Amino acid sequence: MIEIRNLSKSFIDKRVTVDAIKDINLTVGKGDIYGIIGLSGAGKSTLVRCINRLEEPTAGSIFIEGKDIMELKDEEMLRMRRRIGMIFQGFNLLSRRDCSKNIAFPLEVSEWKKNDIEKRVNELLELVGLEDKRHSYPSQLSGGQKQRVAIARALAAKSDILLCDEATSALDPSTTKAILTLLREINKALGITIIIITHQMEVIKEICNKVAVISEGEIVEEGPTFQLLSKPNHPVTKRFLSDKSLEGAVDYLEEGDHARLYKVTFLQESAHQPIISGMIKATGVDVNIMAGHISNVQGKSYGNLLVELSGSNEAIQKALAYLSQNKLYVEELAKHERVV
Amino acid sequence: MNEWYSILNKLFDLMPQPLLETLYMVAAATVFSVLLGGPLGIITAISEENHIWPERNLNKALNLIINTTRSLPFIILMIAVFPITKLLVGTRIGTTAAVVPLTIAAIPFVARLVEASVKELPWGVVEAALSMGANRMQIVLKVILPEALPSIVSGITLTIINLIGYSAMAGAIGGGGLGDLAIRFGYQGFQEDVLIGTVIVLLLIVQMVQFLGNRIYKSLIK
Repeated sequence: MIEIRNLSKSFIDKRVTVDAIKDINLTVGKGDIYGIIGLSGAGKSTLVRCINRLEEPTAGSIFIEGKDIMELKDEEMLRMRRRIGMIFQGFNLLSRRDCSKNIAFPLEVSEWKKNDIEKRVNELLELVGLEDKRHSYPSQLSGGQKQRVAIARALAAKSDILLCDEATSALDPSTTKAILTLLREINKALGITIIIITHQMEVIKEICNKVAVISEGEIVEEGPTFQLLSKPNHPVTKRFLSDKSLEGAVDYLEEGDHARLYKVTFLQESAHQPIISGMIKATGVDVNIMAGHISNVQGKSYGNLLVELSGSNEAIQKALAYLSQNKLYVEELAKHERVV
Repeated sequence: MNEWYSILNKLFDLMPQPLLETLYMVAAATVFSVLLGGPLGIITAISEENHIWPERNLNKALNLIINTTRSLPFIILMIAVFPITKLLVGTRIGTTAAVVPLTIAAIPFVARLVEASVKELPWGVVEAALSMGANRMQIVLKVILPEALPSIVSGITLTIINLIGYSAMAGAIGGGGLGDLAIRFGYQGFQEDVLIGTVIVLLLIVQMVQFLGNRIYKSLIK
């Protein structure tokens, strides 16, 4: 378990103090795949580097298994880091070592015996499916293969925490998927806690069970992935989830008139019932369906429907009540609201 | 035909001794300057702000020393270090004595080149090593040195070629060598054939050093 309490980091850039992260509080449970999503410059890289103290926080505490790592001395911190693996966007492999030597690096650092290193490297090559590449150099590998080597290296010294800093941002979509699948397998099979920093909502949707949204150095929203994605509250979260087809519909309406536009969110259970049709019959409102889509988050789906309601005020109020009764989540979109 | 024969004969007579002197001076100065300047360059690079051993004052001091030594013209440095030469070698003149100023001139040169090689390494590999709990010594020996090695080899090649040039001036303190031969016999003695012969030999040596340097560099890149 990782508990981050009131963590802040500021640095001085050209005599101006910049707060990279401000008063961050997060709790990552053992075995979680915890996603932290934010735009570039939001402070997410700083945050993840504070967890292994590659960046020295200005204030706050980080408890790993109950131990405040801010109080560790240099030598103890080095030993703690050996338990925390890290992978990077740019892979950061040693160019003059082949795959097996790259994976052996953290073991050499921890002064393992030669025979043990060899055995462990073989296990890891098998884990990431690169047995046939053991003697290849990084320059001979594809991006996905390089990230596999990096994952093996990060886990080599029996780490139980894995930090991923934009680990899939340099990969194409299908390789990204393969790497995420590997991370999920590792999480399941070895019970490793994974913290993922990303700007890609796809990554969050694919494997994270919990997610925090970071903006301008602060956590603006957090929670279980499905809950947060299906009912986002903060504008930044909404922007990450914004759907081009819904945006187009809003743009189209903006030219007009007195249309009242609603975003209706329905979750898995309600998706199979003809609720809109029921609403029309029960209240007599006119419904113009502008756009809609269904998203899938780790096997659970939620849908968004953008509808224009017209009729008497009373009828519209009735219709909204009808939707709420049927456990749909309704939100009126202001005229110039582009974030849907 | 006869004329060519006599020129070659003369060169074969004159050349071996100065050639060996040059090779000796350059080889010795290269070894010492790499051994001393290499670590200096690494320390200069890693003591910078935001590197693995930020030591502001040490870094400033090293930069000052390197810059001062590098700004002295070699011919002046050679005379300026006479006391050190005397202390180390026991005499101020001769081939071995010339190794001292050559080394002293090459140390800051090597240091700067090694520093640049270390600095051009992507920070990510160092950061990755830090994230795995490597200490400073391990990072220097297992990451920085091996990763920067090809670039350091290029730097050493450049150093050797520079030292060949500097060693020509060693004649001024009785160091001998090919440069001395060219000046004394060729220039002052009006023997153009010796002058041209020496230049050709120097040219061949430089070509060979560059060729070998490139070969080693390529074999180190993976």
